[in-house]
Amino acid sequence: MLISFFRTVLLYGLLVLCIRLMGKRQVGEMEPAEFVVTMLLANLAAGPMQDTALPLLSAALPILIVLALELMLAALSMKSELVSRLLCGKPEILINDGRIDQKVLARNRISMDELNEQLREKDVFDLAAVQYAILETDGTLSVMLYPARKPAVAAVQGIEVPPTSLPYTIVTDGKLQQENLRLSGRDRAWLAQELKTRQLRLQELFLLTVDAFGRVVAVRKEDK
Amino acid sequence: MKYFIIGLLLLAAILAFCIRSGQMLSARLDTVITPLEQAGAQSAQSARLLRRAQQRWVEIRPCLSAYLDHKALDEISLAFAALEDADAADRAPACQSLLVLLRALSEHDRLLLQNLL
Repeated sequence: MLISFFRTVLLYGLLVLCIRLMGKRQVGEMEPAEFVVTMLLANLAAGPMQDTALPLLSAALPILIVLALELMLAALSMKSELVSRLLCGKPEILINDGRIDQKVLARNRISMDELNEQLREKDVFDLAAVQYAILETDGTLSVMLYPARKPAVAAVQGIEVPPTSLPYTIVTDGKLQQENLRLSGRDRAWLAQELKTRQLRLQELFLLTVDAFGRVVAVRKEDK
Repeated sequence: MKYFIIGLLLLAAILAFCIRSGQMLSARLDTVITPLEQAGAQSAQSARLLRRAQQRWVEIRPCLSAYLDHKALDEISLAFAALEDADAADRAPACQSLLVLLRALSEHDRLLLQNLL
């Protein structure tokens, strides 16, 4: 039993270190410690599931140990910038004011083809349009374009657009969402009025949403 | 810091559980090992002591299977069966090999920790 404890602690530390040393491109949208936890949990659970000769405790204990270590490391990295940097690293600027930093690319073992691929995934096809490209700690690329190459937004063009708000889903597939009705600041009397206006029963509604400005979208169920 | 403390407490609880269950397993296995050792030393009473050891093994085996690899436990059960079938001349070596298996299981954590650290 005791050996399982020490082996899990040692292997967890070793895996976090290895993933950290492998670099951000190996991680792909997860912090290194999260990636290790994901890898470990799947494998730990698989053993006793397949091999009935192994006691259930041999998987349950290491899983709980990994959970405890993850809780502790996550809390420590929130409190300490040093721990956070050791565990997750820091963002790296790959393109700095339009200039590709080849040293940083080499340090992160990212080829020019891979950089281009990641930029294309961000809908950027012209490298000259990029002012800054930052490789985040979770391995994703953040891109900032030159102002002249950014898509024109309403504020830049001086166009006034009507305000919007998040619509609340009040009815889905004929079922009333009580919590959403309350959050939208409306009540059953309002819903009854809406149904009466549309000459529908609740069961006949496929979808009903309302936003903060009172705009209602109602979709009737199709006849089967 | 709340989650750090929760993690630390969980880790401490698991460590305590591992130490406690290791001691418990070792103590239970000793109740099998002791009569077997005595059987080796006192040939006059060996049959009775061997029966006692085997009976204890049958009693504790279900409990051990929650903690230990079932293959290792099956190996010991087979060794007990072989000891039961052995002639008087073969009984001493069969008893010794069974003791080796049981001691290895009893000292599992300690031996592996020695190799590891």
